Amino acid sequence: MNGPNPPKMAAWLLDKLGYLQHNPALFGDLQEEFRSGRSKAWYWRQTAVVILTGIRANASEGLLREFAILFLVQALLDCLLWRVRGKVIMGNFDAPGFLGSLAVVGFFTVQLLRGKRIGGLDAGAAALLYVMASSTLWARYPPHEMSLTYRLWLDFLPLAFTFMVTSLPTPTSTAGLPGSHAG
Amino acid sequence: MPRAYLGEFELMVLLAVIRLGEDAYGVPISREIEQRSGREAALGSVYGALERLEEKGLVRSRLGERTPERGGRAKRFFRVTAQGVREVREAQRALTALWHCLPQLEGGTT
Repeated sequence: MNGPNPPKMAAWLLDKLGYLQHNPALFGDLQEEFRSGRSKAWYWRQTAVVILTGIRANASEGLLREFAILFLVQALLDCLLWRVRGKVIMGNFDAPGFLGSLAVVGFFTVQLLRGKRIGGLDAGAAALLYVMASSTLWARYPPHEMSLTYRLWLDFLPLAFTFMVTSLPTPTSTAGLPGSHAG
Repeated sequence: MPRAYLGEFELMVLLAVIRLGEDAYGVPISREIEQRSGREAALGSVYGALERLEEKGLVRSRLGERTPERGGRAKRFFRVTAQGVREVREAQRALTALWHCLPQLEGGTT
């Protein structure tokens, strides 16, 4: 039977994050409900709940680490692009900010290479490292005129996000992905 | 076996599974909770609760047939176990005992 298809991006996200393979019945349910007249917004809300439930249930397993890696790659790219843009557009390469961000990314990378689970304390330590590295370097190389608010948003928001994600409480049960063990 | 304490949402899911009998899978469980409680029950949350209930031994699941309207994916049917029934009865007994003669609720909601 052919019917409307769920939002491609949401389905892609769930597939790439591994939920589709772990719990096909849930996706059958989502599709059944969607084809019975639910909106795309409903499907997106359901997707968000599935991902958040999965993150919470797998806080001690691999998925969280994958999220951390994804975040780090994104943060690194953001930092690089912003610094390069600063150099090209404003003619002033923000070396302290760039090196501070690089220190954070390097810290996380070492943690991941050592096979350590990144937790809230690690994120806090990385933030501290960033502040120390940047402050030390800013004293020597004053930053360009970009607003401090913008700088804080750009550099600290991803860190806060990491802290939030990695600090999610683990449920008392050892449940895996929602409904992952078919009987 | 130690008691498996039930959260409010887990209890609602368990009751919905009992009410639905043989037809208890994600979609009707979610709808049952929405209709009876007036509160939205996301499928992800329902499956999360069912997973926990299964780990506590309060429900069991089996896969049904694949159907085209579900994109070729099978339904996963749930059934309450004997231990699950005991837990529901115990929860009902405890809640009723706590509710009984609650002075603040007698004659009004304040």
